[in-house]
Amino acid sequence: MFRQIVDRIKSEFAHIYLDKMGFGSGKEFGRQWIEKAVPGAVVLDAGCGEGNVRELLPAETQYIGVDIFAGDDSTGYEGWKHKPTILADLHEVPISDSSCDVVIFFQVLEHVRYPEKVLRELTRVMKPGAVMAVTSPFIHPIHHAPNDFFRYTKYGFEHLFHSCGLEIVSIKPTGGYFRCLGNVLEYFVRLYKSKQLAIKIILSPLLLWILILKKTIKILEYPLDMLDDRQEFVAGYHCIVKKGV
Amino acid sequence: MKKIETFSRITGKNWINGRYLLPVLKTWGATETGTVLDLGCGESPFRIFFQYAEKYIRMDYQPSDDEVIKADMRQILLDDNSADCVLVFQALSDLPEPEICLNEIRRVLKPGGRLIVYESVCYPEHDMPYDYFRIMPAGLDYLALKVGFERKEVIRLGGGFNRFAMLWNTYLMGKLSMYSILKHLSVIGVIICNIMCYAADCLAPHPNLATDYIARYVKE
Repeated sequence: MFRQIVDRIKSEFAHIYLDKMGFGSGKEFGRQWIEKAVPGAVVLDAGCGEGNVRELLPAETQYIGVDIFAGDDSTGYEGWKHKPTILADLHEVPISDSSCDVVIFFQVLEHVRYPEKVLRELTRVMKPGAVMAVTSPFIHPIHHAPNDFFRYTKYGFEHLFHSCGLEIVSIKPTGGYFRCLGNVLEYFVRLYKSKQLAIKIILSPLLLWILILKKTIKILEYPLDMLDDRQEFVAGYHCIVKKGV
Repeated sequence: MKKIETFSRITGKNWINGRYLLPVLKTWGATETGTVLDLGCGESPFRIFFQYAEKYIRMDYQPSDDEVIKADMRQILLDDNSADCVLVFQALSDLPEPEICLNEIRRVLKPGGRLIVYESVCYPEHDMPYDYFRIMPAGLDYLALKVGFERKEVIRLGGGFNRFAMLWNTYLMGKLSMYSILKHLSVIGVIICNIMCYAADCLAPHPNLATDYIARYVKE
């Protein structure tokens, strides 16, 4: 009951923040973005993974998912719901020039060795006037090591897009300081559960403090982030860019 | 007293980070006896660790005193094969093209010379617009090996709880200390947080959450 109320309040708030402040989770941004895809459009999902985007797309769109892994045991990503349409390295995408209307590039930019080359490749594949949505975390733990290379700041993104000849429509943070803190706290609770009893007892005062913080942040995340006027701690960015006609 | 001063100058409120960084710098610094080049030196808080160096050259784009040579990191004003060791401390991510800088460093280093890089992976945006990205350990590895360095060591500093300490101390406690009544409360908060998080890091480390890393590469 309590959880439902919190979720309800947060989803109400999410729209306000996404519209006015730029805050709002990457997921929320992704869903809003994907649902806008025009029927008949060719959608390229670069670094598609399990293909979570595929389920959200309108049925009439033509979906192409590209990933370097296929979700088998050898890569450590077993049991994927959908397999990628094309198995390829994003540095060299086997798709002809100017063939996609929409490019989706969610949470993958930090996992490619040479981001500029990948973005050039995606720009080549886009039709003139086509749009690309990019999301990437900023203050975030190392994940999928050893394939975790860079975290871009706002100016990093601007530099990257300009050097690829893309027009920037918007670059907005996905969350402020309190989301960063909340992300870290999530990890600690998981870490704590995996430890032996003796260590658990010693760590319990710290955990109590962390749990109180975590609950508070979970409920008040968006309003608290609105107070963060400097916006130096950024959980991640979501960007929309356009290829010039 | 002087020791405490340098310590707080390097780590700020996050003393816990100093517990990881200083031992590494001490052992690495003691072996450097030749020419040391400090790129993007700022006020050179790390100079004390390189006291056996024969020559300590400082370079920065915005010199803080007269000794510093004004230079761009992409055009180092030194001859080829002239330095034994190059330090790049929290400066590489201030360039849009770190690869050019690494190439220059390779040029000025003697064969067998060392490159020591210290980078933060969890740090708020600062010095805008001269802050382009955070280079993760794997990212630096990729860039350095591409340019022609050989990796010797990469050490992740911290064990997870120092990330929490960093977020807690720099922002929340920093905000608290702006109000005169809550100033003392923030001091207590910083002390408790540092002690508890250090203990927790020793007991239950989580290196994927580390805030910084220090790496040493050798020119082949």
